[in-house]
Amino acid sequence: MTRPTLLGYLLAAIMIVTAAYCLGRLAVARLRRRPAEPDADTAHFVMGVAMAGMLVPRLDWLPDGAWVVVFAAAFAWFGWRLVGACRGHDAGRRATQHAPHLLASSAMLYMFLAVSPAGARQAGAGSGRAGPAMPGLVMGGQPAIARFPVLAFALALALLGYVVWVMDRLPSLAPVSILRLAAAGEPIPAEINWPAGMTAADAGDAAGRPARAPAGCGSAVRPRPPRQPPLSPQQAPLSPRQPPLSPRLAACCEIVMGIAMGYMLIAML
Amino acid sequence: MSDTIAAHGRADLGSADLGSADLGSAVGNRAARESRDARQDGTAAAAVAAWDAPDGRRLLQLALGASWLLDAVLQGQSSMFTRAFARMLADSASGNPAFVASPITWSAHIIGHHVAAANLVFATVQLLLALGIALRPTVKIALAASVAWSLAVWWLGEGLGSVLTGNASPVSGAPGAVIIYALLGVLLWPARTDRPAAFAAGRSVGAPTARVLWLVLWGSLSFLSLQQAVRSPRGLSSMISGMAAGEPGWLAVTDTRVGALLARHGLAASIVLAVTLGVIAAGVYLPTRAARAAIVLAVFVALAIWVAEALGGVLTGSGTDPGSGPLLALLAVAYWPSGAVAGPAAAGRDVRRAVR
Repeated sequence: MTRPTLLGYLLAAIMIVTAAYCLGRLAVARLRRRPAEPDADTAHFVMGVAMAGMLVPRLDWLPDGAWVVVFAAAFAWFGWRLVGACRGHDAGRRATQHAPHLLASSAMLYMFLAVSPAGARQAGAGSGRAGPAMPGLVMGGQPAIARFPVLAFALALALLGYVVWVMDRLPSLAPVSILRLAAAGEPIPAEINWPAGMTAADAGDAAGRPARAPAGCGSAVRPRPPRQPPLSPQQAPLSPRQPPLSPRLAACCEIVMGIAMGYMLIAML
Repeated sequence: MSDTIAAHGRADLGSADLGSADLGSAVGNRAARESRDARQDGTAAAAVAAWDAPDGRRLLQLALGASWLLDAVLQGQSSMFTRAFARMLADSASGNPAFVASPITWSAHIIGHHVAAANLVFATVQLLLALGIALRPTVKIALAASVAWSLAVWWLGEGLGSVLTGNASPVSGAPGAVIIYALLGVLLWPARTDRPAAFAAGRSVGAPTARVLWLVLWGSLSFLSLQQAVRSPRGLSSMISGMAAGEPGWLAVTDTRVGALLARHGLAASIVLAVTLGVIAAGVYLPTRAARAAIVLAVFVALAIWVAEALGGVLTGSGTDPGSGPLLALLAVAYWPSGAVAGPAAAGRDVRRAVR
């Protein structure tokens, strides 16, 4: 086993852990009725599994065509949400929640579609994988030959830029402890930054509305929202609501996914 | 697990205002004070960092972080885990004086024996530098480390950009992309108290020092363009044509045609290039409008250099960095005179008058 293969296994393991965490988020959100962003978590789960399969072909359990359909569907879904967000109120901020998922979906689609059949066959031969080779990366075999390398480079640049952008906001994302305070109706500082698409009202304010899932709570935070008056105990809801799942960990998933995806795109050049 | 991460996040916030301290204005200082006061409250709620939208310098820092991230990813390519990587390092010793070449040969020899492990370490270091610069609480330590790392790589990995060999040319990537990383690390340093400057690069070291650094860099590029080997009739031509190997069709064709165009006009092309670079070098000392024109020219020249150096070879699967072109362009953007003098001393000034 050569070192690049070892790196491939390492990255595949990280992808599996990330996918498992996203699956866990989906399960916890469902079972405990915690606000979450199911489409983003689902996309991360699927991407993690697909990338693990591209890095270590033995972990690939779907035919290439099926992956193409899956990511085409993801591309269409996030594209549709982006278009919808652009039309609605506060378009710029809402659009930034969906654009990164659209970018990641298109990168996955590219990785499955842009490898020439000859390159894919070479890669598959190197991996010892039966049947048509998975386009993309096979670390132990010949490198896959990508068509439109400039597009791969551009997608990688965009993903790596997004990773840096998310990292910049990571410390300012509200931790779960703050979200719990808000959900319980405790006074909270007005300075805190909520996950994208979320306000104090989402976490549980006095109106008694059911806490709604904050759109894009796994995405980068939005700029500091207008100051809101701290919630007083009198304003606390009758029953404490559940805080959303950790936005910081969701952001970490995006960072890990972005780096791995960028690496795979560059390795295809 | 979430709580652990949250607690960790709060612990990090002790220096969360480092990145925002570069605001260098009354607003920035007030934000920093508020952040400190919030931490002193001792409550978990109060310890959450307020996020300030990145200003110009922070955006440049993020661009620098993205460049390091791209370098880390490029370092992870399959070809870097082979002995070809060690040979590439050893090749940078050729033509250099002994005191430069000997350490290069020595380090390449060691790396050649443990090429996979060494490469993994290099990629990891660059990844950590990128993430450290992107994360506000660690931006200072990451920038300092990036300067030290860049200087080491400039010597041991790039042979001081071949500037002592007599063959270096801006078109071939001189003085080396990595030394520009170091320069950017210094110029984009988030000083606790900013100095008044009309451009982002002058806020940490001061406008006069920043201008001198610009003059030295672009002036040396101008000088390198006139070296004997570069100004020879086919010097530039063969340099550019040589970059085409292994590149995608459109880029190979571009470089080949440009090379053919410059054939037998090496001296004239070198003189034009040297004069252009000289104008750029002096441009930051000109009045604002002329300085802006010089910066725009610098960006165009940087992009032309990038194409001439075949995008640093990143599309061939063997490039270790995107080349000097994008970094020269990033540096140029850092010198863009905004028309407003940032810094505490600038508060309430007629900024346009100050710029002039």
